[in-house]
Parts: sequence; C-alpha cells; structure tokens
Amino acid sequence: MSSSAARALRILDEIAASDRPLGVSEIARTLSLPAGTVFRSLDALSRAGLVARYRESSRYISGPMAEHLHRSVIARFPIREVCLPYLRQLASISGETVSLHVPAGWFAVRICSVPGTGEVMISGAPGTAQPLHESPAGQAILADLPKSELAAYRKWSKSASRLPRMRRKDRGETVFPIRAEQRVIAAVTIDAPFAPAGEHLSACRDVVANIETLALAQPGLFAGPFSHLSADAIAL
Amino acid sequence: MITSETSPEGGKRYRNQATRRVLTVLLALADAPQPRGVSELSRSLGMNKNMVHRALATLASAGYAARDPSGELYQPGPRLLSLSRSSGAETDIVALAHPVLERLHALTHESVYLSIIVGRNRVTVDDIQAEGARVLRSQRGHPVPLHCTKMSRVLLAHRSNSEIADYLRAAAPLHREQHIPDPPSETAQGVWQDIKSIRMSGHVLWRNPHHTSAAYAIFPVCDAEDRAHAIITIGGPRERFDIPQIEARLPEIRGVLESLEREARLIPAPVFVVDA
Repeated sequence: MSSSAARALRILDEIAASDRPLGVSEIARTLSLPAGTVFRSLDALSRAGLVARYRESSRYISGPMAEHLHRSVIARFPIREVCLPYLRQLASISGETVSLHVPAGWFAVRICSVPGTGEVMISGAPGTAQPLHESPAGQAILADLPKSELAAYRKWSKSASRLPRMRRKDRGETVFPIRAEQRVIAAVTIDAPFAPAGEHLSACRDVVANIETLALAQPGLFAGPFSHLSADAIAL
Repeated sequence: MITSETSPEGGKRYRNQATRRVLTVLLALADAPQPRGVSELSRSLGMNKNMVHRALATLASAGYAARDPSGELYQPGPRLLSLSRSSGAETDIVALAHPVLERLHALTHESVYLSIIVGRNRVTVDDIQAEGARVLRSQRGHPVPLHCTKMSRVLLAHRSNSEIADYLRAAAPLHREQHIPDPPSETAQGVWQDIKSIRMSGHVLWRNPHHTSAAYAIFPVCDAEDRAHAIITIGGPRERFDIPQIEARLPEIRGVLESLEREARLIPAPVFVVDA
C-alpha cells in the first residue's frame, strides 16, 4: 500500500537525485502519479523545508532542510573528525584536495574533503555516494572484500536497476586504501590528475600509515551509523 | 478505500496532515544525537504512539529511518545520505550561520553578529539588528585588530598558541586608541591572560567594566580541531539583556546553536594568515 507520505518521500527522492529543477508534470509522469497528488505532496514537503522552488519558478529543488538532514547524517560518522588532521597533512604535502571515503552498504561515500592549496579544486561534494565499482575509492574497498561478499555485491549490482552514470574523463584520483583486520575499511584519495611522486609520495604513505595504526587501535571509530544494517537494504 | 482524489475537502486536508506528521517525525529523528524510541517521540511531538509507529514504518521502508543496533530504537536512515543538492553541500560558514542568526534574533529580540578572521582582524560579515534601543550600529565590514575587544579575543583564543604568538609579534606595538577602555589589549601578557580565561569556558558572557550600559554573549563556532571559523555575538542593553537574563536563556540559545556547531565541525576552518 502506498500512503500519501510514502509518495511524498518518493517525490523527495526524485528531486534530490535530479541534477536540475523538476516541475510538477515531469515528476507526475516519472512516478505515474496524478499531477494534483504530486502538487499536494510538494506543498507538504516545501512547508517542511525539504524542497524549495527554484528561483521563484514552478520547478523544485531540494530545500534547506534536506541539506540539514544530509549534514546531520554525515556528522554521525566519527571517522570524519578523527581523520581530519591527517587529511590536512596530506593536503599540505600534495597541495591537492584530499578526501576520505567509507563504505555504506554497497556504496562508497565521500565523507570529508579538505581543500588543497592550489587554485583548482576538482573534488566531488562531501556526501556523494556511488556504488563501489563506480569510483576509484570504491574499487579499492571492493578489491579486498572476501569472496562471499564479492559474490553478494555482484548479485546486488545486477539486480539493482541503476541508471548509468556520467563518468568524467578528466578526473584522476590517487587512492590509498586504509586496512584494518584484513579488510579495507576506508579509502583516502588525492583528487588530482597527477599522482604524488618521490618524497611527496613517501610522505603521503607515512600519513596513511598513521591512519591505519589508529584504525587498528580503535576500529570502533571507523564504524559508521549504518554498519549494523544489511548491505542489500541500503539504497542510495 | 477512499482516496484523496475522491474524498470530500476535509479528507484531503487529512491526507496532507498525515504526510506532515511523517515529515515531523523524520526531522525529530535527524535532530536527536541519539536513537529515539516510539514512546519518547510520541511524548515530545504530541502524537499518539500509533501515529508515530506508522510514521516510523513509512520512513523505514523508504530508507529514511532505520532501527538502531539494539533493534529497539530508531535512527536516521541511509537514504538521508542522498539528500544533498548535486551542487554540493554548503561549506561557507556565512551561509551556514545566517539561518541561526535569524533564529537567535527571533529568540532574544537583540542584535546578533557573525564575525570572522580576515588577515589580522576580526570583521563582522553578517548581522541582524534589534529594534529600538540596541547595543551598537551595524559594524559590518569594519576591521578590529584580533587582540582588541573581547569579541576579537574570543576568535584569537581558538587558535594554536604558536599562531597567537606569531600574531602578537606581527601586531606589535599592541596599544591602540579605543573608544571604550580595554586594558587587556594593551600588553601581550594581558592578551595571554585573557585568552587563558576565555579558553576555560566554551562561551563568554561579558560586560565591559568601564562601560556598563550593555552586555554580550559571545560563542565561538569551531571546526573539528577546535579552531574558530567565526564567533556569534548577541548583545543588548543591560536593562533587558544583562548577564542574569542571558544566563537564564542560555539553554535555549545553546539549543539553537547546536546544529550549526555540529555542521561547522564538518568544515575545516581556514588557515590563519598573519602576514595578510
């Protein structure tokens, strides 16, 4: 049974997933709902601040409260605060933007980014989630999964009817997996087309080794708010 | 079953109400630092348990809520990770803080200021002015050296000792002409002593002993390493906003600041450039 609230949440999903403002009739068509129903849901969502009209137009984008909810859940990953000083060190060694990614279900989530000192910043927004095989950080996590979990991932990625995503060709990332207890629990990326080399690279490796030491000593810090949920149940 | 399309007007209103209840439960869940239970939510939101239970079931099946590790309570769900606008999460402290300034002004009816470090100065970059009698005209954009005035020193105090030492060296001689006497600003020793006392408490409730007409509450907004992005100051005439009145409202003020403090920790504070 689809309640009015469940419909409103589906409309919110649709608006949040879109990279452009969506109009009532467009949403109605996509979700096969009457326009009046969509309009009433949007009214309830905008009263709660979850969606907002895009520049006084009749199309909608996600609202300030949606951003707030997003940030409140990002704040529940303790690893973000713990790793910030290390990410800062990496950003100052490499001069580039440095990000930390953690798995949530079968997704890699960019949980924190520290801007580099250079003029150009090419990092994705904090909080972006991609299926493990779709990003270099996710691939690093995927590569170390035990065989049984890898099989479960394959099954999931086939059954999940996901739209193909745009892959940006001009983006390069250097990935450092963070291992604890024989699995990759997070990945640090230096978001630049050129990998650090020579003494920069070994300085970066030292910082990453410090994060791994921390992960071994306090694995609890690296557990996210969704670690207890079944990976198949997490859809982003 | 009656659907909203065929029901009379009252029915429609009822349907929308149900959606709003579900969204209210969602917001309450996200704002609580700890997982919450059905009875507790029903008490704090004034809804009956059955409504809360159904709202949580709807949220959980859409991934917006999830059971906590104990299985008894509810926490925000993974779906919230997808809620960010594709342009990226807000990382500008001024934009993040503005709604909080509005809420603080609505709560206190006093003037509210947001000030940041620019070079060697504190600069107020946003403010909302009180009506009628108020503490001072908007000082937006006016640079004040980081060792002068209590507000400036709260910003300075939330930096590392070596950064402060660098600043004090660069800013010497410290003595400045000032409208209102500010003895701690005149010597490095005075600045250090004041910084020590500021660091003892999270916020500063203050009135200048040499100029007794106004009182201020100053709150640092810090990143995860306790480096200040900014300070938020609420100031008012002492006849209505003196230290005891501020103290009485402190829990409410802290409540408003809480979400900003949490969000500010996600963003690294800018590097302090003494030689600007």
